[in-house]
Amino acid sequence: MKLGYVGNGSFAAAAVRRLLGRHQVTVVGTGRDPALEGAGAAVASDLPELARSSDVIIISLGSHSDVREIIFAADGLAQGLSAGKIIIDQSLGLPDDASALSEELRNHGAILLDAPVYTESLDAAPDTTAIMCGGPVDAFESIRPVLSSLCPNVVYCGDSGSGRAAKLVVAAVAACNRLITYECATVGVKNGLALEHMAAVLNKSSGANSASARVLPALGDHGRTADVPLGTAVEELKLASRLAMQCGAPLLFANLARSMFQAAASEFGATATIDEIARVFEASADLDFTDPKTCGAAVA
Amino acid sequence: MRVGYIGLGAMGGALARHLVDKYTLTVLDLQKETVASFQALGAQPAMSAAELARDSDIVLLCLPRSSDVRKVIFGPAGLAEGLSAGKIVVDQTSGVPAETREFARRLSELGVSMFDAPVSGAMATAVAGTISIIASGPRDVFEKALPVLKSISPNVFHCGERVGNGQTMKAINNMMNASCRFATLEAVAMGRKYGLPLQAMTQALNNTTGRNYTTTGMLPNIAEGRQSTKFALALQVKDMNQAMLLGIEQGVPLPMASIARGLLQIGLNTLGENAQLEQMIGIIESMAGTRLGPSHAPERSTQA
Repeated sequence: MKLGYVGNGSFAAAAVRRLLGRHQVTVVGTGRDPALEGAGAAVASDLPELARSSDVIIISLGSHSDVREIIFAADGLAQGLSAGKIIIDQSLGLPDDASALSEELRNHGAILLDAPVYTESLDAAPDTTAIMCGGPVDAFESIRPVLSSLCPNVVYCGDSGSGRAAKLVVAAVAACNRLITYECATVGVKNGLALEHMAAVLNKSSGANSASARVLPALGDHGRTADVPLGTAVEELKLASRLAMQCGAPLLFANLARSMFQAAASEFGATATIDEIARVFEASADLDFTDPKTCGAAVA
Repeated sequence: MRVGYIGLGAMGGALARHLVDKYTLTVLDLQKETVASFQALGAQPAMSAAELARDSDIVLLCLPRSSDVRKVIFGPAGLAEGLSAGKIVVDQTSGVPAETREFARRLSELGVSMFDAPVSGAMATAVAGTISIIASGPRDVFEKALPVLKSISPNVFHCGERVGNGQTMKAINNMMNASCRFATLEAVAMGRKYGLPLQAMTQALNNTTGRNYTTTGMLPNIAEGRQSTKFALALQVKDMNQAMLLGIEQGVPLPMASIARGLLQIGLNTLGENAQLEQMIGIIESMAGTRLGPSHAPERSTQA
C-alpha cells in the first residue's frame, strides 16, 4: 500500500518516520517543511502527483479550511484523485464538516475517513494516545494497519464525522480531568494536605483519573506532563463547545474548561503548554505548589 | 486489646464485622436488630456509650455526621463519661475535619487520644476487607491503633500528624470523583446525542488521558445495563457540601466542583430524598435529551 502524507508541524515529521518503518511514503517537495521532506520519504513535485502516486493519502493540518484548500485548490489533491483512493484526515475540525467533505469526495470516487489523534504527549505517553476513526467500516478495516503503525490504540467510532466527534468528547473529559485535579490539589494544600499524600491516596481511590496519576506527582516540581500547547487545547475545546451547541447538549464542565483554557492561553501565550494552567490555580488561591513548607509532607 | 464500635450502619457494620472474631468487641447502635446480629456473632452489647468506653481500650465510631459524633462523645452517658487516660478514639465518620480536631483537643484534656480514619471505597470493598482507610493524627497513637485498623483492611494510609487530614482527604477524593463523574457523563451525553456508540467513546476515553474512575467503571456498566454505584444521593450531596466548605473557608475558588454540587442538588430536588446516586444518570440524560446506554438499568423505585 502506497501512502501519501500532507501535514505540518513536529507531529507530521514524527508520523512520517513511524509510517516509514512499515510503509512506502511520499510527501510533497515544496520546500515548505524541511523536517517532513528530510524524514526519508519519497518526494512528489506537487499535490496532484502525490495523489496519483498514492493509494492512501493522510492529511494532518491545523484546521478544516486548510484541509479543503489542500484538496480543492487549483493545484490541489483533487486533481490527482481517482476511484478507490482513501483519504485519512487527521486534522482538527467539526464532525459535520468531515461528513460534508466525505460527500464531496465521493464525486471524485475517493473515500474519506476522519481519524484524528488525541494525545497529550505522543513520545512520552503512547499508552494514553489514541486514534478515533469515522467513515465506511470496510475502508477503515483496509487501512487499519496504517493507523496502527501511527499509534497502537485505534478506535472505530462509526459513520463519517464520528472520529472527530469522539476526539472532542475525549478532549472535553481530558481537559476536565486536568482542571479538577488542579482544583482538588489547591483545596487540599490550603487545608493542610501534602501533595505527596494526595498523590498516594487519591490514585488508589475513586477520585483517580489520568491527571491525578501524572500531574499530581509532578506538581511539586512544576514538572512537565504534556507537550500540547494551550493554543491547540483551546482550539479543541472551542470545537467541543460548538458541537454541544449543535447537538443541544448542556456541556457545563467542558464549556467552563474552554473558558479557563482560553484565559490561560491569553495570559501565558498560545505556545505555552497546558501544564502552565497550574499557575492559574496557584494564583487563584495564593499558593506555590513548589514550596515544601506549604505543600510538602512535613507540613501535614 | 478490647475494642468498642459505635455505629453499625451499612458502612460501620461492614467494618466492625471484621473485628468480631479478632478482638473482644463491644458494640452500640440505635437499631436493636443490628446489635442482636452482632451479639449472635459473639460481640457484647453496651447499654450506653459511657459503658462501652469503660469496657474498651480503643473505641471506633462510624456515624452519619460530626454532629452525631459530638453527641455520642460529649452528650449524656456519652463516651467522655467512660473514657480514661490512655484510651484511644478513632473516628471513621466522613466528618468535618475542624470539628474532629476540636473533639480531639477536648478529649486530650482527659488524657484520651483521638484521630480520624475514614474509609473510601465501595460497600463491597468494606465487606471484602479491602477498603481504603485514610488515617491522620499523631504517629505514635496511630501505630498503637494500626493492628485494629489493619484487621478491617490492610489498605491503611497515614496522611500526616494533623487530626482531620484523613477526613479532608476523603472529602477531596469525593469531590474529585463527583466532578470527574459528571464531567464525563455530560461529555458522553453530547457524544451520544451526536450519534456515537457508548462503547466506542468508552474505549477512546480509556485509551487516552480522558481516563478516570467513571470511564473505567460506570461507563462499561451503563453499556451492559448494570448498576455501578450503590449510594444514597442525599449522602453524596452532604459529602460534596462538606468538601465545598473546605474551599469556601480557605478562600479557594472551586469552579468545577461547583457545577458537580449544583447537579447533585438538582438531582436530589428532582428525584426526592430517597434517591440513589445511580439515578443521576437519568438526570444527565434528561438534561441533554438523550440516553447514555442502549438499554438502561432498571430504575430503582423510590417507593417502598
